[in-house]
Amino acid sequence: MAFSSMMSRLAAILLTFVLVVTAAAAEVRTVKIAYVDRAGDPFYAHREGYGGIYDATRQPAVSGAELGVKDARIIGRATGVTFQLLRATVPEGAAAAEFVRQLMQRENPAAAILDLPEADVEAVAAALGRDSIPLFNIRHRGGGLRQKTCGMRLFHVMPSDAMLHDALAQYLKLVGWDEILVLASDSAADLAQSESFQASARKFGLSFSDVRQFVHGNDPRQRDLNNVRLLTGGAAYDAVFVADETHEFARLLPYRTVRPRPVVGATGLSPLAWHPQWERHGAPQLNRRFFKFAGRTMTEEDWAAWVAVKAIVEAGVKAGYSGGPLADELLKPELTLELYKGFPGSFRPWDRQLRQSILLGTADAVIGLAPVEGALHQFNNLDTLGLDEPEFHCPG
Amino acid sequence: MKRVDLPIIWPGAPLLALAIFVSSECASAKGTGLVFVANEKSNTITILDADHKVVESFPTCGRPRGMHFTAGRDGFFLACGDDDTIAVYDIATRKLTKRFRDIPDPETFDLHPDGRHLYASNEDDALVSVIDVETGTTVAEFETGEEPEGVLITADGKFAFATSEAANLVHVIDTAKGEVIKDIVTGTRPRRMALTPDGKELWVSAELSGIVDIIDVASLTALGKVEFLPKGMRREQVTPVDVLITGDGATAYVALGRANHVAVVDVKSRAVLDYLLVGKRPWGLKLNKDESLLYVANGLSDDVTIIETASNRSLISVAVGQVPYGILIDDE
Repeated sequence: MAFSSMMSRLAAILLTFVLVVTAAAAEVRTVKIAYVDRAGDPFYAHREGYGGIYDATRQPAVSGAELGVKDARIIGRATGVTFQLLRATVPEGAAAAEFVRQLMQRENPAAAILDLPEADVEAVAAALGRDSIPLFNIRHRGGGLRQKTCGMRLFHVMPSDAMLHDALAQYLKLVGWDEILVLASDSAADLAQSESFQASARKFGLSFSDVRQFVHGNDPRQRDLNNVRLLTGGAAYDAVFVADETHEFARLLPYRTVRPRPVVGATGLSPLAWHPQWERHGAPQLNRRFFKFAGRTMTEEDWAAWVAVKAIVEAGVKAGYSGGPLADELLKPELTLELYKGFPGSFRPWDRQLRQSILLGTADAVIGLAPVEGALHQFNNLDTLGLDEPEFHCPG
Repeated sequence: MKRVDLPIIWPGAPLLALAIFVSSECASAKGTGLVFVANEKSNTITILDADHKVVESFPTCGRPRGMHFTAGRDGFFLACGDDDTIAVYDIATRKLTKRFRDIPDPETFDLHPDGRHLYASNEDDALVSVIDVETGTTVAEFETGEEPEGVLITADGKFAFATSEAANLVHVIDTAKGEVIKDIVTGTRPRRMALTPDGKELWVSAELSGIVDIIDVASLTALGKVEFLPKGMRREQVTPVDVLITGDGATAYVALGRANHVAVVDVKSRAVLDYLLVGKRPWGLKLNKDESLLYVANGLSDDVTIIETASNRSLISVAVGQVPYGILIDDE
C-alpha cells in the first residue's frame, strides 16, 4: 500500500477516534443545583414548648432536596443529564446576596433553592435581578414577599397564605360551616394570618360571627382577652378560626370553647402543603421513601425542597431537548409536575407561584383536599386558590 | 369444552364416554370460569362466578395487588406489597400453597414464557427483581427509576419492559443479556403497558399526562400517542392506568382513573371510539377468554363493573372488597 494512502487512512482513523471520544464526553452533562441556607438561621433553632413538654425543632429541609436528586439519578441514565446538589451555607452575619452572587460566579449552577430567612430571599432575588437563574422559595407563604419579588426570577413552591386560606374557606363552605368566630393575638404575624383568612372567607361567602383579639397569659384583669370561655362565649358560630404563631394558645383551644365547635387554622383542621398521612395519589410512596432516606417524617418544607428539585429536573430534561433556558421551560404550561396531591403542578406565569392542591389535615389525618368538589375556574381549577391573574398586579 | 382422550373399553364405552364428557367440563384442572378480584385495602380476594355473583371471599397476605397464573394454570401468583411476599394460591381449593418471602414491596409482575422466572417491580426500592419460582431465589435485580410499577414481557421472552412512575421512564431489559439496554422517556407518571398481539407496538399509559404513549418495539422509540378527554372534562381529571388490547389487535381499552370512564380505542387509527361510564376510579381491566365481557376494577367505589363488549353496555356493577386493584379470570 502506498505510504500516502496509509497515512490518510491513519489520519481518518485518528480523526474518527477523536470525534467519538469528544462525542462521548459531551453526552453526559452535569447540572448543578445550588441549595443555599444560613448558619444560625432562627428557623432551625432549637424550639420547644414551655417547660420542654414538646420539641418543635425543625430539621433541615435540605433532606428533601437530597432525596429529589437521588430520585433523579436514573433519569440521568436515560437522558445523559446528571444532577448534582451543591449545598452552600451563608456564614453567620454575612450578607446573603453577596454570598450567592459569588457562588454563582464560582460554581455556575443552573438553579438555586433558597432555604433562607425571608429578608435574605428578597435580597438575593433583588441582587440577581430579572435575568438570574431560576431561584426557588421553599419556605415563605407571605403575600408581601410575592409582591415585592414579582419582577424577579423567584419561583414559589410553598403555597401562599392566600392559597392556604382559600383552601380552608372552600372546605368550610363545602361542609356548610358558614359562620366563623375569628381569634388572633395582636402580633403582626397573627394579624396577617387573620386578615388573610378573612379575605378568603369573604371570597367564598362565609360570614363572621365576630373577630376577637386574644392575649397570652392568665392575668385575671385581662380575662376578657385570655380566658377561652369568655373569648368564645356570647356568640353563635359554626367553627372557630385561630391564628397563633406561638401555638401555645391554639393548642389549648379545642374542647374548651363555650359552644361545641371545631377549631380550624393554627390547630384542629389546618391547610397544609403536605401531610404525612395523605393516603392517595401515590403520597405514601413519597412519604415512605423520605422516611427511609432521612429517618424522619416529611414536613411541608422538605416536600417543597423535593418539589423544587423535581421541577428543575423535569424542566432541565426538557430544556436539554429544546435548548431553551431553564426559566422559560419552567413557565411553559405543558410542565406537568407530579406533586403527589392529585392535581398536576405548574407555575403561574403572573407570580411564578406553583399551582397545587392543598391538603386539609388534622394531627393524624387528611380530612379534605382543595380545590374542593364544585370549585370551578375558567381555565384551571387550581387557580381558585390564591391570587388569580386579574387580581395580581406587578408594577414594572 | 376440553377434548379428553378416552380409553376405548367395549362394550360400555359409549356410556362411559358420555359420563366422562359431562364431568370433564368441571373436573378439568383449568377453566373454572371464576373471576378473582384482588382488594388491596381489605387484604382479600373476592371471587365472582359466571353469573356475576360473589361466591366467596378469602383473606390474603397484606396489600394484594398483581396476579398471574402459574405456568400450569392451576394456581396463581399474588404480589403482597405490605408483606414483602409473592404468594401462590391454588385455584381449586383457594389455599395458599407457596410463599416467596423477602421480596421488597412487590406490586406488579409478569411471568416469563419459560414459566420459571418472575419479573417483579419493587415499588419502594426502585428495582425490578427476577425470581426463580422453582428455587425461590432472586436471580437478578435491575435498577430502575423511583416507583417502578408495570412489568410486561414480550411473547418471545426477549424483552421485559418496566415503567418508573416517578422518573417518567420505560426501562427495557434484555432478558438474555441480563441488563437494561434502554430507558425511554414517556409522559408523566407511566403506569401500565400492553403489547399489540403482533408484538410491534408497546402502549404505555401516562397517568398525569392523560395519554397513552405508543412505542415502536423494534426501534424502542416513540411512535405516537392517544389523548383522552371525555366531554366536559378537564385534562387533569383524566388519569389513564390499565391498558388492554384485544386478541385481534383491533381494539384497546384504557381505564381512565379519575375520569370514571373506560376509553375504547381503535388501535390502527388511534382514535377514541367511545367512553364508557363505570365506577369510581377504574384502574384494573380484564377481558374474558372470548372477549365478550370486560371487567373493570373501580378502586374508590369498591366494586367491579362488567361491560358487554359487543354493545359497550355496562351489565352490572358488583360490590367486592376494599379498593379492588386487579382481576384474574380462570377461563382459559
